[in-house]
Amino acid sequence: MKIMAVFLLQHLGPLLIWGLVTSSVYLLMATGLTLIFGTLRLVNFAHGDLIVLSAFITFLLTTNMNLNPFIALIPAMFVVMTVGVAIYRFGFKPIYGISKVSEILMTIGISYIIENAMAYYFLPVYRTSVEIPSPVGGGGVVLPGNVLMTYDMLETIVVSWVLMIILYYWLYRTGQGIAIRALSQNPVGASISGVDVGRLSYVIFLVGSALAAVAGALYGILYTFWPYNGIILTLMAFSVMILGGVGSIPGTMIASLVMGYAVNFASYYLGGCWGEAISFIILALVLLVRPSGIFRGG
Amino acid sequence: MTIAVILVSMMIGKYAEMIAITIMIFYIYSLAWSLVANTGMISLGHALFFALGSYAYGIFSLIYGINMISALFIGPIIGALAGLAVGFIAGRLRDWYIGMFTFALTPAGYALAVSDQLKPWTGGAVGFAPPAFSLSMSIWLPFSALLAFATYMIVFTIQNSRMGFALSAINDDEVAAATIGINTRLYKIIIFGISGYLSALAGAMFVSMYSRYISPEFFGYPDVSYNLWPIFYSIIGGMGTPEGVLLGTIILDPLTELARTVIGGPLALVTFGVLLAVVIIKTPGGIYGYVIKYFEAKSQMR
Repeated sequence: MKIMAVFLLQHLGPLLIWGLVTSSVYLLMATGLTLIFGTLRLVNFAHGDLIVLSAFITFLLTTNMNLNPFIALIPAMFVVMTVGVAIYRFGFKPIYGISKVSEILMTIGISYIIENAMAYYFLPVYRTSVEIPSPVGGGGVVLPGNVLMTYDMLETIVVSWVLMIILYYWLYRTGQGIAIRALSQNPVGASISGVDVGRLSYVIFLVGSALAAVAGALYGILYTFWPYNGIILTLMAFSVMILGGVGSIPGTMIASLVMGYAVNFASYYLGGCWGEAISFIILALVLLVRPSGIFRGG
Repeated sequence: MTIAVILVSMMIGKYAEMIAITIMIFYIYSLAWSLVANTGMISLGHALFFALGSYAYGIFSLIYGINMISALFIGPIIGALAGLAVGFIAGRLRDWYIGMFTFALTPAGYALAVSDQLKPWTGGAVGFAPPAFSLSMSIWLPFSALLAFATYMIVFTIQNSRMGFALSAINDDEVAAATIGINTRLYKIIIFGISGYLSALAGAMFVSMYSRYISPEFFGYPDVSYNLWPIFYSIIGGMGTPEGVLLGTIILDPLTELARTVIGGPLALVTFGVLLAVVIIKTPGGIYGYVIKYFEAKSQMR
């Protein structure tokens, strides 16, 4: 009994911290997706591939030009935003609103193109987290209870939640944000009352891709990645998005916390492969019981 | 018909015969996918059924020692059961949610296949080789052609039955279909079960007559290819009609083989992704739709 208690509790501190770090990354990954799906009713299956693309560009610039990852993030963000807008302009726009079937098939086709292009250019090998150096030069603090928290983990949490506050302010306090929320509630009504839907769609894809780029750099600093990682990241973002209720930023925050802790606890107590499996179990359960997400009334 | 196929298989080389067999296999797989797609449900995770069929065939024949030809037909029942279960959830969902849900199935299946708990049966990440197929090699092509023809007949019968009309009503307008008394959810579950069986049959045939090795990448993860082949063939060929799917498979399957050997690697797959995107934007009806339009225009000119 005592051994059991020790097993359950001895790594509780690190698990709590890692849960927070993981959920911060999930939060960044899912908000971009939920922003696009909530307003334009498009699921960008290539979202995970954009995240991996950003991680790879950051990796390339840091190793080849010795840049700080946070400085390398700026060109990475620029490239990813360009790709994101190109996806919208050349992929979705010609078929938007014509047929759902075409949209769904298009999105998987785009994901396939990006993924294999990355596998061709960056080679299908795993890049470990140490290959991108720490942006603040490593180090960390020991929290009470003998829990190590590196500065990389801290900066991930801070960047992610600060960006969320900025996003929240943008969506709820600025004119453009209000237009976006109007668009998500009623596209026809919004365009009647003077919202430029065409222009706003580009803005939404830009912001979504930018969030994916930041998520990618942070992901690359902390975790191992390779070109075919996109699928699993897209699915994680799906799970968080569906759990939190599509289009709801506060819901996504809570859902990412739930998912981050669920993944960490499951992979520690049940074994490695359960970490990802638990998110699909949650996804299937939510879709079966309450497809609109649990944090949304009605 | 059968005699002609045997004569052809004697004349053309072994390699061409192999490609012809994969055409038959992928024709079954693509038909199974388009059966679900024509009901308005875009499945992005059919590789789950494909892989389940191949694993079931391998496990039944290797571990339980079931006669191989029986295993080829009994194994896919696992796929049918999985299809019913998937249909049970997917039947409640709408467009995008079906895509996301089915897409999530393939990594989950992969995780199961490589997990430690199931390793004695699945061979983990390495996979395993089932015993050599008991049928003599010279009749593989006619045998697979027969199965492909049987699948075509099944799909044809479904499409021209009461069920087929109900399915196309669901595809056109689900709410209206439900209003006139069609049990939409039941039909969706059944069609997923049938499609699961046929996809799994394609998977079992793929293992027994082509790859002769079972690996977890059949689940379409981490490389989504096995998920996407039926989509490519059906969409580029022309979704909705068995003839269009046949056209797509016959034209594209040798092309994929060629691209894999000539261009090679991920770049070949990029070209297919681009091809799919262009077809979706430019000709939603696929090659078959284009051919039909061409002949209609010609007959009108006369």
